[in-house]
Amino acid sequence: MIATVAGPASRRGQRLAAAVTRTPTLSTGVVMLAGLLAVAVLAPVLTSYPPDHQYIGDMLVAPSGAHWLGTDELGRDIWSRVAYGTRTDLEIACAAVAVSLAIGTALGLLAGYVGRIVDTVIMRCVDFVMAFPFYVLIIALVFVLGSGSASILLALISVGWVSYARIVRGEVRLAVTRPYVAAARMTGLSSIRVLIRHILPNAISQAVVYAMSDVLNVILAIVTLGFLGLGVQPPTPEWGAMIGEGSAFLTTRWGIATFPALAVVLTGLAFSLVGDGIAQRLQGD
Amino acid sequence: MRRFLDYFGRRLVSALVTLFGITLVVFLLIHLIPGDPARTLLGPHATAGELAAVHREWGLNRPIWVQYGLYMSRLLRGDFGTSLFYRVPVSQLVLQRLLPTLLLMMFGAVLALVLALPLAAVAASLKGRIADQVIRLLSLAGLGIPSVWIGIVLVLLVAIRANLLPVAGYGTSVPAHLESLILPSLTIAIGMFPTLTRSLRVGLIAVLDSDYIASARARGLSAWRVLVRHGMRNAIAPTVTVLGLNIGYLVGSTVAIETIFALPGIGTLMVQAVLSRDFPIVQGVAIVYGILVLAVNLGTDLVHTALDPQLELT
Repeated sequence: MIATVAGPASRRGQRLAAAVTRTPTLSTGVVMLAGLLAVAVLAPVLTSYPPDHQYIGDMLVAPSGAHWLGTDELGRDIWSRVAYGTRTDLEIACAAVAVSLAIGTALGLLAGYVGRIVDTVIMRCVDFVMAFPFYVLIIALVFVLGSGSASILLALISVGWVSYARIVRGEVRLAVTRPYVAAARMTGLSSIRVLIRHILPNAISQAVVYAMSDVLNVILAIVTLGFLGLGVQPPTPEWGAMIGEGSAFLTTRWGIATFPALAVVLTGLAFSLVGDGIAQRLQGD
Repeated sequence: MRRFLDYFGRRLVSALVTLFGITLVVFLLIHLIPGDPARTLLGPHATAGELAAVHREWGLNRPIWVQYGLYMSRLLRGDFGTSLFYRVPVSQLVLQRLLPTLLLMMFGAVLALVLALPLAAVAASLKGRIADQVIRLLSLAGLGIPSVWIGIVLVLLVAIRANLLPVAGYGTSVPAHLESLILPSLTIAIGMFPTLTRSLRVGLIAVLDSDYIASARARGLSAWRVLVRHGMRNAIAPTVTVLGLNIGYLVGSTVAIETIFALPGIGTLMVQAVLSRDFPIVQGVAIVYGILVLAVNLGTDLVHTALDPQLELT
């Protein structure tokens, strides 16, 4: 009995593992992503200094055995700040994308399945938000909400849900014309059940692929806001703010701005590889 | 022609609806937070007199639709409000700074295409080979490079170390203006070309897979001739579409890039306004940016239909 229950689940796990190892882009991306998560979680273990402690007298020190990546203008250890910055940037980005995905998917399902006035109202809102350049609306929202992690998160979600709503709505409109939905309806299943159990699993895959590239764009937005001084406020270690502070010392200590930028590039590459890999798998199947 | 005019009319109507939406979103921004919008606008240090003045100007004690009506009627008369900091009309500030932003967008887009087209052509015609893989990996890694960092690195290498171009600012003469736009445009292009290369590669591969390319090859035309005369020409329409899709990104990226290079454009104006809590400017610039995107989208749509007569006009 136990064997028959555990059987399909573990086989599904094996198939997933096989899919990951057979797609080099996906496996590389997953490994990089795991590394990033490890740095974020294990930041206190991997670093020897607190990220915001100022070692007076040890300012603008070049990389050495004591300070692997050197120190910044306030004598703070750059490796510590880059490692702890992984937490800040990944936390905001993942939260923003996850909530946007959830809200967008719910509204997209509603718009696509209910149709009529609900569809019109939701999609008009989507159009209005999409009419603005992403950064412009985010900056305007940050003005109203104030700077800081919570307001950035709120601003990113207010703008972010629209893409998911549009993608999921499109997939739902396509799905309702398919025979399997008609068949599910004919067996007398309730609308909610058809929507959640039959349409959602098919509609969400495109949204998940998009989410991978969206995490990257959201991280770039957090970094840009931090650079401009509109984002996460000091002394919280954040990659964009670090690039901004380091840009003043570019001629003497280029590492202060460059190491956090490299962290952004590596993070971006990890998410792009995973996104590309998932897209390849979906096309292949 | 008749069909084209019909199509153009429909596009224009939908653009007007979007324009209405843009003003609505910008109007609703200050009502987003519970509490007194005047307090949100002016920040915690505003005096009672300043708050009262904002209440009067915005009609904040009237119902919200009356406020929106007042706001719209002012906008239609070209009144975008008065800057709290500069004490001059926002429209005047925006008009003074529109040209650098427009030039930056234009040069940035052209440079991005100059970078992306050859790379995409090489990748598509050598699909699956080593050159294609390298270009794919490069553009994948390029997706994650923060433009702000590209900007400061270009300043360091080209302006400070090599001393070839100005570090920042806009100069005072037309040649100096153009000179100061080179590095910012290059920054935008480097930020944009990975996305463009990736979409163009897919578009070109689709074109190169088609029957007329096979027949051109069968007639014994050289690979280069097939690519340039038959492949590229048919890939222009998808290129325009890809460029149109990325226009939001292009326009938005000017905000940060202008700030790095201290270009006197509307992006710098907006960032400074946020830092000095000057809401009328933020509002006015947001509307202008929305209109810019709308105009460019309409433009690319029209170019697209002109290039591709077979396109379904719906």
